[in-house]
Amino acid sequence: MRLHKLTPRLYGVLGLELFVFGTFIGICAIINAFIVDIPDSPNPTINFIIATSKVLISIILIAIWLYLWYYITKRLMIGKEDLQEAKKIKREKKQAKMQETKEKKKNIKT
Amino acid sequence: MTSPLVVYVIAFTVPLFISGISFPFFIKFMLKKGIFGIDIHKEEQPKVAEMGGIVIIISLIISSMITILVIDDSHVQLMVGIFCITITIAGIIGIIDDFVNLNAILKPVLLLLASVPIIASTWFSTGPLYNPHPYFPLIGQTQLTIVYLILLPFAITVPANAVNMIDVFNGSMAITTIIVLIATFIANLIIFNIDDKTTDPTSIFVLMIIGVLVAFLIFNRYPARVFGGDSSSLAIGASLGAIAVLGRLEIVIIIAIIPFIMNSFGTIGSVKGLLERRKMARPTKMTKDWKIESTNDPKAPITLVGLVIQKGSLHEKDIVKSFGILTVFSSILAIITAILIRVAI
Repeated sequence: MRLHKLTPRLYGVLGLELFVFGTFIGICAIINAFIVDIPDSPNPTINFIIATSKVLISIILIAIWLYLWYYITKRLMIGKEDLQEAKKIKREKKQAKMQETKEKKKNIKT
Repeated sequence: MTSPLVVYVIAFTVPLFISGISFPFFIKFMLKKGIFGIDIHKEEQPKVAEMGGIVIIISLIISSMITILVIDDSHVQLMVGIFCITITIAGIIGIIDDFVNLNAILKPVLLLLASVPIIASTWFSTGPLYNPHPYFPLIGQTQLTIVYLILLPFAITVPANAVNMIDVFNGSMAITTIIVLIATFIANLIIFNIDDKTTDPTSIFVLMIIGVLVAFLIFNRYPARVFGGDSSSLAIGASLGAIAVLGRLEIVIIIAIIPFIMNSFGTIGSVKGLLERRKMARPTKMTKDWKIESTNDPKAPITLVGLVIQKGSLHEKDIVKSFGILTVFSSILAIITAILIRVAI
């Protein structure tokens, strides 16, 4: 199959790649604008806290980015119907478990 | 003093020729010894020699030795040595996996060992060969000293497993990795402004792996005459990780291997954790005209292949082409990342 026929099939994945890249650059821009520029303190203790906070905030942002990437990839791959079915199964399992624990508690009381 | 250009030519041609000459003999030998797999994506179900990774690893070891002999700079010699040891460890784990099918959790754990030579390089040099100050686009150099050291072992095991997971069709691993490496080579030139007077270790690593992969691709492309096995994919994946760490191209390589990571995300997400490939339900099946279509089995992992064939069955060659398109796009994004890093430095 020619490349120009194959490419339209891949628009979804290519879009996701672009989204992943765009959000990462966005995060870098946020870090550059708001986090990197926080001035250092002459007090070593405060300076340590500031430096640790800078790294922690950046890590949290990167972790959110990774989770978003993972979640959208999963959504794109699984599809809406399958996802709803998976949620339904999960809900049913949870309800069954709750019912079981209720019955257990009842039995203990009696 | 050997010119850097001569070193680069040696780094590229030696593994290319060694593996190019060795593969025909290796294929004959493996078929004769009965070590082969059946290519289930072909109507004729041909017998294909397995464990081509052995040739890849041996070629890389020999070419690393020759390159070390040619280079004058002791720091670059050490870097090439450490790079070679890292790949060899990952490759040996792959060979063991080819023979005894390692547990899905044990394999990535063992691969953490491949990062030991890089971490231990501190003992052989005046300072560590890795630099815990990675470059980020728009930000420039960052100070991640402790965090970097914590993440370092994963820098080898994650790409190794990601490449391992994409190695499912004839030529898929070799083609996509070559594209990633070409982008890495360009990004390295952009970020570090490499001149022709000093020998750049990253360029040596990249050219070495491209050389061996080009030779492997000749025999692994459709219709494949040899399968690389886990030994090849883990070694090549580990080399990507090592290039990222030793070459200070962490972010560039993460962006370039987006399709590989997406494939791993899908697999891990759908089977809820790590599971050995052979124990998973098959996500694809063959149609009557020998195209690949989805099995629609809810227990099967959801992979990049599944995404590509979502809109209908495809021939094996077309799936590999699709992987190529996705990797070319992510590689372009990686080069843009390199430009954004360069702007910030």
